[in-house]
Amino acid sequence: MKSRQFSIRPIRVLSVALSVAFLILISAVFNLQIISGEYYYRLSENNRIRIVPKRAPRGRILDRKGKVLVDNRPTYTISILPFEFTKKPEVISRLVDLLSITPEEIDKQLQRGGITPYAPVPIKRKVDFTTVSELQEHLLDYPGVIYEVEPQRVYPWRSHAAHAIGYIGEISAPELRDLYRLNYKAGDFIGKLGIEKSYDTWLRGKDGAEFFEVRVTGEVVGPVQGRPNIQAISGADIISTIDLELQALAETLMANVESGVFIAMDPRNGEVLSMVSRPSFDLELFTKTITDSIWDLLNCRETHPLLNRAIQGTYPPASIFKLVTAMGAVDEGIANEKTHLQACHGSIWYGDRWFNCWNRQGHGDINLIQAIEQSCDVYFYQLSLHLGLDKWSELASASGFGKPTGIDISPEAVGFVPSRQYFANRYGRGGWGHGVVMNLCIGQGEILVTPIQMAQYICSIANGGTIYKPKLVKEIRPPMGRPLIVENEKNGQLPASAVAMRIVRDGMVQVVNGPKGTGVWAQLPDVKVAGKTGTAQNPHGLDHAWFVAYAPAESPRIVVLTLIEHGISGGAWAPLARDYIWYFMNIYEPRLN
Amino acid sequence: MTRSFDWTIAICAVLLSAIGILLIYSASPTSVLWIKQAIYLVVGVLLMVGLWKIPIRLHYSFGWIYFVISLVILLAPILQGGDVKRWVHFGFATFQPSELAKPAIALVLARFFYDHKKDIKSIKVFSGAILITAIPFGLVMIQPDLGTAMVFIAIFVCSIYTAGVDELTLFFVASPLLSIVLSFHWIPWAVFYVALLLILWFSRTRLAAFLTISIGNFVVGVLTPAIWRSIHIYQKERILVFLDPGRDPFGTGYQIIQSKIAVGSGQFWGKGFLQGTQTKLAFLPAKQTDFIFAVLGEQFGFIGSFITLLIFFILFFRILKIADEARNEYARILATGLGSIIFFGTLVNIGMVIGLMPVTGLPLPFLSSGGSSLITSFCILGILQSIHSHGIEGP
Repeated sequence: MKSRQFSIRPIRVLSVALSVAFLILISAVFNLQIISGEYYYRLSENNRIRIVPKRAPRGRILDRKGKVLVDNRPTYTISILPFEFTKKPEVISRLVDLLSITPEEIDKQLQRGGITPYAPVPIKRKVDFTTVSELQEHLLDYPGVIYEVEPQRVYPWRSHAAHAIGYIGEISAPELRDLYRLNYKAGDFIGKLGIEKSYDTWLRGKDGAEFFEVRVTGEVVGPVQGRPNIQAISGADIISTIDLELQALAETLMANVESGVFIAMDPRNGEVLSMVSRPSFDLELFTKTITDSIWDLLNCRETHPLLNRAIQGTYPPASIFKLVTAMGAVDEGIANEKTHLQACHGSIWYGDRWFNCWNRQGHGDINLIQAIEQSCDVYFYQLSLHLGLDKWSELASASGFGKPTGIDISPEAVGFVPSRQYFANRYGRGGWGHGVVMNLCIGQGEILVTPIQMAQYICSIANGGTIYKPKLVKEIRPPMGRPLIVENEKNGQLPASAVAMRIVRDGMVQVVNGPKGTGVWAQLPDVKVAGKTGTAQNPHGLDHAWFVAYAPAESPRIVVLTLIEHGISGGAWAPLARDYIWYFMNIYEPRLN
Repeated sequence: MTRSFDWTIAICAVLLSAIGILLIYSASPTSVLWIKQAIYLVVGVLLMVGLWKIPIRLHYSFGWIYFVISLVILLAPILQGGDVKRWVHFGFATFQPSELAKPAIALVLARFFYDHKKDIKSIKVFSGAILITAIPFGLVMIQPDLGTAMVFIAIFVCSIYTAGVDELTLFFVASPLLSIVLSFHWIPWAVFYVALLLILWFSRTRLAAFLTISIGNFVVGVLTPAIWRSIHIYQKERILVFLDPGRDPFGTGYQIIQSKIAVGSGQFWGKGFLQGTQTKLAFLPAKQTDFIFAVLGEQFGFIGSFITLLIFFILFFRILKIADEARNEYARILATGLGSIIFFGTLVNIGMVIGLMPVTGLPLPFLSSGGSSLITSFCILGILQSIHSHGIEGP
């Protein structure tokens, strides 16, 4: 029975491999315990390894021309190393005197830092230099207390573009739960809003570390054998699409507006040049400890300054939505620039009631272009009956409404485009009539849009039909390696033929330049501006005022949107857009070349 | 002719477990962990004796059933949800399914290779075996449990090698991985690639295999640096921290520093039982589970570490001897497959504690605190006992 049917080779090879692996293990253990044993014994009994993080500077945020929007400055932080810190009463009382804090605060901070017991726990941030030198002179009186240099945010332009830029704060427990896989730690700072939030993984960089061998008394013996320091890698600079000069202009124009939105975009690529959301706030607030009263103000239920109305506010689009209806009507063969419908006498009878035009005097017998120019409701009521609800909601969705634009900051509201299904669920079959579509086609009723969706839409009209995804960041510049250019992205194509586009654009030129245009306040002498007004009915107070414009009408390079909450009439606010466009054309652009 | 119970592996295993219980007690004398571990040891020994009596014919016929059961229990923690997906909760106890899955993979691979003995080198059998390993591999990677996933690969390699696939073929299969490792600089990679081509040429590999291997390695060797260059520094850093935790001193890197201090400070004789300063304090997390070897090194020094390693070494050689003496192919493959679980776990765990290998979270067989690992290890020995006494009959 001793005859072997199979090769003994594999088992032999495995035996040899195992023996070699064992020899390696034994010699590594020998090296650790016998050759370096004394060194490690010293470390375990008397001395400790101290690891001090080297904080990576957060990347800066620059405007499109490289001007600094957000910068860093070094600050001193007093921290406690939990393993070296002995809670002797005299040490605590010295610390209390030095930092003018209470012993309870020290305890509270120490408990919070318990997640990583070997990392220093910040006790007081932003201490002045005299405190640091005091500590440095009497280090041995403060065992386990160190100071660190931490870069801290500086916002030189205070409230300019505050919502787009955003602010940072200490990471919260829910954020940490989601992000611990990406090497986030307790005590890290993380973007909470705007670009600071959505580009956080680029901006934050990676902390390094320094290793020291330290005596029990707190004296530093020297570096740790076999443990080279780890360099900090600073975060990437973010180049925004915002232009500081234009942003400052927009902020000035909006200074007297209590609540509202101002957006300026380049229609050729979707870059946001200016974004203002009022009421605004001072970003520098977040670099200090925020008192309860300031926090209450920032979270005020009525004004809600932290809300970025440009992407989170939803409003009825009002008469601006007549542009969607008009394009649909042309492409469905319902109307063109020569089409005259039943003349407007200030209202129209449909079903069992009168539908009013905003102008109770009536607009008379007009064509489609004049209807856009004068924003005649009666003309569009009639178009809507031919167009129908299904076609309308299909067009509205395809034009980018009712879904997020995907702009690179969040959270973004989606707005709402009602469909047949919605009305059937809401009112039951037959519980609603054509009246709803008549209201929707003039932008009233259930439809809700965000200002950024509207700006995206106007850009697509201006550039001839391409819906560019709005963006706030042009470029990411890491400290090493190539810069990363953020490509232009498209959200599809406007569902409109060339003819429809031309008619609507002609109408928009007439809005500003026509004899009866609703936006004549936006006229400029040497530039042809196109625009559209809108007045959104507001059941809670005065109506909201929309105005959108682009220029020059022949080959647009700038789109401006204003939304003034409780602004009553869109046309009345047209001068804001006009002044911006004038500055852009006559001062900003010539200087570029 | 039947042989009797193999006392050597049984004594080695009980000795190692006893050392483990001692160390668990000294790491946390106030907790009941060491009592639990002693109970697990009794359960383990009983299971080993029970399995010794079961003929391996039975394991052969259950091969696929073991596989299906292991897939189900690997899926269970994923479906149960929760943050740490490595545990399954019953009303009365929790266990780690990945521990139980290890012998199951060895059992099914042994059966698969035995069934396809004749065409072991065919692409069909090869890819079948890879598929069998890849499914549980994927399930543990989701958790993510890199250590267990690596054990599956070790089982695969040892089993297929014992089944008769030659070193050259294994080398060709592993060559793309080597290409990835070597492609950090073009010179070592170019040397490797030329060598690979020469080996392929002189080994008279069939044309299809020749082309697949040479082109595959070329693509991997060229793409890896290109991908590495195109990803950004922060993503690179994340990958590097995964491979070398020392780069993240406030995460797992700190454990490595502390466990090296603990082991090293033991010097020759150790600080003595219950005298460890490093391992008693909170300096070392997971001290009774994954880092139990650090407790050993600190308290019993080089002499204690050496004796423990020696017992492991004897145990390993007895296992290989059982494989060597098995008179049928199924038993041979199964014995090396099962053995590789213990070999690999031991080497990787100790390598991790002394800073030679990345932190993967594999327990040290027999020593680490935890019922799943201890009981599974004794079950493995039970099947090996059965091979030792019944191996001659075969399925």
